[in-house]
Amino acid sequence: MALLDSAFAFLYQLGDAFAFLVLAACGLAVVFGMMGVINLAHGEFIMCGAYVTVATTRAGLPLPLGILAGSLVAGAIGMVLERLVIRHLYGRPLDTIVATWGVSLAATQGTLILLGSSMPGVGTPLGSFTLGSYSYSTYRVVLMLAALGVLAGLYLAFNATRFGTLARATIQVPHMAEALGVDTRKVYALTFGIGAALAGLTGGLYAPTMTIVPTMGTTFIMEAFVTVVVGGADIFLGTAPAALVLGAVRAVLTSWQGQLFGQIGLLVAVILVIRVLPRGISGLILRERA
Amino acid sequence: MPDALLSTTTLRAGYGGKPVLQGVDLAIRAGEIVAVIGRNGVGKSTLMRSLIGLLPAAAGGIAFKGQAVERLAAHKRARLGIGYVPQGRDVFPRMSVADNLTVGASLLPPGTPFDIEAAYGPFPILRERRAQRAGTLSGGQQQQLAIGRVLVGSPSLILLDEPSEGIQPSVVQEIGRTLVDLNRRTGVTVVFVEQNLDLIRAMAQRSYVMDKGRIVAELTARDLDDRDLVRRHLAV
Repeated sequence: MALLDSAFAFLYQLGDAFAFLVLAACGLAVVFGMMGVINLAHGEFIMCGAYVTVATTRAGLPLPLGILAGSLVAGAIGMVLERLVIRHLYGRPLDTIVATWGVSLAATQGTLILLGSSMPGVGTPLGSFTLGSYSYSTYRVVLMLAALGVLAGLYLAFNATRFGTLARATIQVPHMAEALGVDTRKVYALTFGIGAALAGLTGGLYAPTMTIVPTMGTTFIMEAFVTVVVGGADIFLGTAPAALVLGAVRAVLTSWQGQLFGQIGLLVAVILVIRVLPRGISGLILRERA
Repeated sequence: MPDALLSTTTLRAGYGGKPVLQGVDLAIRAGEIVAVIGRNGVGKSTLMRSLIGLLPAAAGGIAFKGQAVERLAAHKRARLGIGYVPQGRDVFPRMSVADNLTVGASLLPPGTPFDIEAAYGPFPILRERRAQRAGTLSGGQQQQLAIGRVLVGSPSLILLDEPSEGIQPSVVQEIGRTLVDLNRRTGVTVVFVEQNLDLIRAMAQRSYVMDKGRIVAELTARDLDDRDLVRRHLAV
C-alpha cells in the first residue's frame, strides 16, 4: 500500500511537471516551430493572461470565462505586436530576439508602473483530495487535463482544418504557398496570435496558483525555452516528448532532493540533449523518417 | 495584341540591383501554348518568377485579363487565375499528396468549393499515392503533383518552369501529352520555359526566344518544325 501511495505521488508529480512544461512551452513552440521566431516576450503574454484572468474573475466573471478572456486578450495583443514589430523582422532572428526582449522589458516595467508591484489573486479552486497518506490539489489535475487538451486541440487545428493545411504549407515552402494564392502574411499573423493566445491561456490557468506580480512571466520562461530547445521545431514530435522526459527528470530529482535539484537536473538535461541532438528530439525523429 | 490574356511591356526585374530582365515585351492569347526558350542564364526562370510576383518588377508593366498586376502580391495574382509550377517543383515535402493538392484550391476565391478530381483525372498516380508524403515521391511524380496542385484551383493560365528537368523521358512525354490534351479540352493557356527539344515540339504552338534578358526572336509553329533552327536557339 505504501508502495502504491508513493507510485501515485510520483505519477502526480510527473503529471504536474509535464503539464507545467507543456503549457509553458506550447505558445513558444508554435511561434518558433511554425515561424522560426524566438519570442522573448513569451513570458509577458503569460503574465498578461494571468492579469486579465484575475481582474475579470475578481470583477465577478466565473474563473473559466476569466481564463478564456485572458487568452483572448493575450492573443489580440499578440496580433497587434506582430503587425507593429515582428512582421518587419521576419528572416532576421537576432533582431527579433532583441526586439521581443525590449517588448518584454517594457511590458514588465509598464505593468509595474501602472498596476503596482503585486495584485491580489484569486484562490485555487476545487480544494484537495486525499489518497493514502498524501493530500493532492484537485486543480492541479485539471491543469494536467488542460495540457492534454491543448495538445489535442493544437493537433486538430494544424492537421484537420483548412487553416492548418495552409499554415503547414506556408511553414514548409513559404514562397510556393504564396504563389499558390495563400496570403502568407495573414497566416503568420494568425499563427503568432495563436501562440500568444496559448501563452495567455497558460497564464490564466496558473493564475489561481501563483502570486500575481509583473515579473511572473520569468517563472515560465526558463522552462518554456528548455522544453522547446530539447524538443526541437515540431510541437507534436518535439514539445510533448520533451515535456515528458524533462518532467520525469524533474519529478525524480524533486522528490529525491527537492525543488533546487529539480531545476539543476532540468538544465543538465538540456546541456546533454543539445550536445547529442543539436536539432532536438523532433530533429532526430524527422531525420529517421525522412 | 489587344486581346491578350497576359502581356508584358518593357518589363525589368533583377536580384539585389543586378538586372536580369532588361525590357521584356510579350503577349499571350487565351488558349495558346507558348514556349519560352533560350540558353542557360538568359532570364527565363526570372521571367516566370516576376510574372507570378515572387520577384517584384523594377520597371515596366504586366497585364493579366486586362488588369495591371505588376504591383500586386503573388497570392493576389495567383487568385486571378495564374497557376505557377516552379522549377524544382517545390512540393510541400512533409505533407501528404492530398494535402498538397488542397493547398492549390487557394487559387480560387476563399470558400469556393473545389474538386480534387481536377488533379486525379489527368494524373491517376496522384490518387494512388494520395496518402504518401510528397517528399518521398519520385521527380516525375512530384512534377505531376506540382501541376495537379494548380489544376485543383482551375487556373486560366499555367506558368511551367522547366517541366522536364530531372525527369525520365517517358514521363516527360506523358506530361506533355496530358497538358496538350488539357489545353484542347479546357482551353487553359500554358506558358512554359523549356530546354528539352522534344517537349517543346510536342507542346508549343509558338515560341519566344530569350537572350540577355530580352525577347530576341519569335518562332512560329512552322519554325518549330525545323529542329536545327530550334536547336540553334537552345545551344549553350
